Amino acid sequence: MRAYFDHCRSTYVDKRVIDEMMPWWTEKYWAPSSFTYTGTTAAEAIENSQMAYAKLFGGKPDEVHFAPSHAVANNIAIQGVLGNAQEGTVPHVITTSIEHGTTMDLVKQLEKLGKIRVTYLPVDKNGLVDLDALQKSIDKDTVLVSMAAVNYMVGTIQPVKEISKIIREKNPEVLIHYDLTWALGRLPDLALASYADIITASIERIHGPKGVTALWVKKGVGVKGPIYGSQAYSRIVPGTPDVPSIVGAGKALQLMQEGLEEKIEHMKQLRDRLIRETMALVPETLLNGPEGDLRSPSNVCLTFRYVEGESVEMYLDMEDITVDTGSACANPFLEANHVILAMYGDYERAHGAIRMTFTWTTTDEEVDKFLEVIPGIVAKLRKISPLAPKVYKE
Amino acid sequence: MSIKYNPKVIEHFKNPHNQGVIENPDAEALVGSPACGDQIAIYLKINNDVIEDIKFESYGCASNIATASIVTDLAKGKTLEEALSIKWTEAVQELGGLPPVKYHCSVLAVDGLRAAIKDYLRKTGRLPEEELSPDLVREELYHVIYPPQGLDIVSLKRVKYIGVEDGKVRIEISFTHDDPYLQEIIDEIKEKVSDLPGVKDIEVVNQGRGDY
Repeated sequence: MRAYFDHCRSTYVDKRVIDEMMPWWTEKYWAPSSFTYTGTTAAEAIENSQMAYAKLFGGKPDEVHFAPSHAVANNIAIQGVLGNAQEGTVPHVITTSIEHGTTMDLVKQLEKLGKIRVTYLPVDKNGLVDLDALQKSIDKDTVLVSMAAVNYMVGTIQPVKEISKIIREKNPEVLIHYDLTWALGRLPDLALASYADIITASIERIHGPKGVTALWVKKGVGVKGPIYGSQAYSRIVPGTPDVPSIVGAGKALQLMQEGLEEKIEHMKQLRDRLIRETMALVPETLLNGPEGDLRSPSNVCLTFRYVEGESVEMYLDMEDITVDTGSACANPFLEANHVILAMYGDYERAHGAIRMTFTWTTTDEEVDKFLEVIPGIVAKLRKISPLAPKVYKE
Repeated sequence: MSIKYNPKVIEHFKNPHNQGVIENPDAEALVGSPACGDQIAIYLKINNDVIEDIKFESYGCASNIATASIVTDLAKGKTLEEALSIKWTEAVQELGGLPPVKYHCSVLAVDGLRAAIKDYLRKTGRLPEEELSPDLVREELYHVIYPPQGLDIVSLKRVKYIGVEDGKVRIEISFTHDDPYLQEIIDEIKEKVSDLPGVKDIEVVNQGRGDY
């Protein structure tokens, strides 16, 4: 069986989630925007999922919307806030230098078009945001601070409550958007409604369906656009809601919460074992990102010095093991991972980065399988690497 | 974008030919850069202008290793002149094709071979003095591949101007300003052109391409 370590990209959908979704395609395939039996039945199904998310975040059910993907949700969050900004101004947006493409590529594009001014906050060697720089960067034109609570690449957990406090003390008008996509199912407490104005969180990384991402917008927060038309059901996310996926998201969230603390503990043990034993087996292995409690329980990110990441990824693939890499060779745009570059300024470290992410369903057997083959793979690649010292050439 | 490798590429990746180091080589070269991600070292043993032995080392992806394997196969036993005429397209063909986004790997392998041969010609005093000129720069730009199309930027008519003055090179290119490969292309141009003799400064300007 394949050992799969790419759960922070996608997970399998839990069978119980699919069972819950099925009738909403085949029998109760209705749209929610009418007062009829069919319309109200579909609307109630959506409300159940809204309630599940509201409970988790600590907000109200009607503040929860559902976007058709993680990228769309972050676009609505960020562009929607800008759509409501005063006309004729160039709003200031603050984000970090280590964001996922769904935020990073968007703000870069808006910046290029001259629509916004952006501050990319620096991070330290643990990937933690520079709070002093944050405090200093907030000015009278700042409209939004947007960042992920847990970094997708190296698993750094940002001190979001402290961050919110700093922002609100400096300028209470600034809106705060947290992307909880990599925090869901990894952190025990996500009741952040009183610390944020907008929250996004995809469900596909915790055994939910792909086509749905929750978008929580606090009542009274102005979000306008960028998608218009067919706003009968939701002004913020226009179009017919994907009822089956929304139902599935609610179910996946409920299943996630069952025994969450044990699940987190299990992942922590796998994480620490994977890091400890790989480092013991393979000399000159670097851990990217923080150790211990600053790190997501489901993230391991390593660089084997002198070895390029896509080769490692391909060799592991041939052994039926899936990982991800920060190498430019594996990136469709041939760019080395910007998170590792921002943290260490080291191209070799970024090209060599191997990211392994899991959920509570990941097993010790999968870790065994990786540990069994990784020393041989790295040794083989070091032997042919022009960067490796002689000691690896014997 | 699918980046599936064919079985021949995988075979050369798993069991590369001519991999290793030649002690006391007659010529050697290391090409590539940390920023672009892949690097290849080539070592040559030359007798009577014939490549008697060739070895390579690679820091790079599967296609980097596979193309180095096939290019060294193609060069072994050839005269220097024959080896210099090996084109990166032949290496791709010999491998049964590569995803276009990976063509630049085969260019790097061929460049490594050429750099090593030039090293030999230089050592033996046979390298004709090359003077920095727009033509010489253009020659280098034939080795810069635009990944989505898998073709070089000269053939794609994306190079609009090349100017050379007192070691200062100015290159104007034409890509949309939000082309996701733009930075990669600029880095690669600088990397290739900086190896030419007499280059003191390189300026790459994107003219844009019918966009904002």
